[in-house]
Parts: sequence; structure tokens; C-alpha cells
Amino acid sequence: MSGSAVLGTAAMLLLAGAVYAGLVASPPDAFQGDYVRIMYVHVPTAWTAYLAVATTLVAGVLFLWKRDPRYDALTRSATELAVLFTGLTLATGSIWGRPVWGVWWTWDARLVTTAILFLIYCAALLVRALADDPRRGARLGAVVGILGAVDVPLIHYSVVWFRTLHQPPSITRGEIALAPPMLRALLLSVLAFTVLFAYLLALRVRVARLEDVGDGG
Amino acid sequence: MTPALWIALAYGLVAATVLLYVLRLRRRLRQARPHGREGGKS
Repeated sequence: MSGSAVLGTAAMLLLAGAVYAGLVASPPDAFQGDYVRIMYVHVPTAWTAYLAVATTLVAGVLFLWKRDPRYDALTRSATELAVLFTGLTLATGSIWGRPVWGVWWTWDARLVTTAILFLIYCAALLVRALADDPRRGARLGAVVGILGAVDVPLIHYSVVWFRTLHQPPSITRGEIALAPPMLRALLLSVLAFTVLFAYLLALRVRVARLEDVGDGG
Repeated sequence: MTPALWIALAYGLVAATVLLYVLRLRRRLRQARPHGREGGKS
């Protein structure tokens, strides 16, 4: 069994466990009721988007420094995953917001900074795709990805720095404002999405490397 | 809509998106392999 297959199988098993923990084993919230169960996919998709942005940042810096095509494959793979998971974060947040807040969207600092991250990473993919010279496109894509990563601390601290509708972090260094079964469901889901991210990234990088060889890159 | 439907919508959207992405990557991987179907003809 290859490393990728092991990761894929582990991700599937962990996701199945996370769905059980989130939908069956955890209780409804005192205020949100059953809608809290949407958090067990919303928070992990946001976490995975952060992981993808961090990978883009590190791989992008390494690519601009070393000009090694392997780092470019990693940068563009992580950029694509950042778009995917930021999009899912916005969508699941919207699905939660409609019944709980009464609106699909509001001009809240957390929502706006997340939407900006989504647009910046779409731009990072676009500049790659539209560049006449693929090497120039790779450099531009890496630069946009690195600049976009600056938005992540803004997203994270937006609920602290600004008056927002979005709730503040439930897990901080000093306090965990979650009941144990809810915390278990959330942590299991975060773990499952982390393994899923590793699987998707490995698969996407393999595709990128093979396509580079095919293109003579 | 009941809470169950909203929850199904959120979980279903994430599951369907990830599944479609994996299937697309696996198809691209097959096509890009030097000894894939195209390569096997020569």
C-alpha cells in the first residue's frame, strides 16, 4: 500500500469517525441547538484553509529563493487547496448563518477578511494561468500567495480587534469554552481534515510534477 | 427548512466538493502518467 493510499484510507476512517462524533455522539448546543453541528465542518475547513495558506507561504518563499520547480509544484498545489477550503469555509459559514443569524451574508470583519483571502488566492491562480511565460507566472503566483498570507492574522484576530457579529474563538490558550463531547467532536474533525489535507496535497503535487514532466518543465 | 436539512446541506456540500476534487485529481493523474492509456499505445 503506497503512502498516498495510507493517507487516503486514514482520512476516510477519521472523517467517518468525525461525522459520527459530530452528528450522533455530541449534544445540541444550549443556544444554537442542532445548528452547532455545522461547526464541526465549518471550523475544520477554516483550519485546513489556514494550513494551505501556511504551506503556500513557506513553499512560495522557498521557490522564489531556490527556483526549484518542486517548490513551485508545492506552491501551486497548496494555492489551489487554499481556494478550495476558503470557498468551503465561506459556504458552510453562510449555511450556518442563514438559520442562526437570519442572513446568508453580512459585512462582518471576519467574513470580509475571509472573502478577501478567497479572492487573493483566486488571483494567485489567475496570474499563473494568464501569464505568457510559465516561469514568470509561477513567480507571480508565489508572490501573490505570499502577500495573501498576510491576511490570515487579520482573519484570526478580526473577532478580537473589531466589534463583530462572529463569535470569538472558543479555544484560546487560557480557556476552552466547549463541553467535552463537543470539544472531542471538533478536535476529531480537525484531525480528520488535517489528514485529508495531507492526502489531497500529496495527490495534487504528484499530478503537478507529472504534468511538469509532460510539458517538459 | 428544518435543522437536519441545513446540516445535511453543509455536510453534503463539503463531501461532494472534496469527492469531486479527488476524482478529478485521480483522472488527471492517470492521464499524466507516462505509462497510462495514451502511453500504452505506442
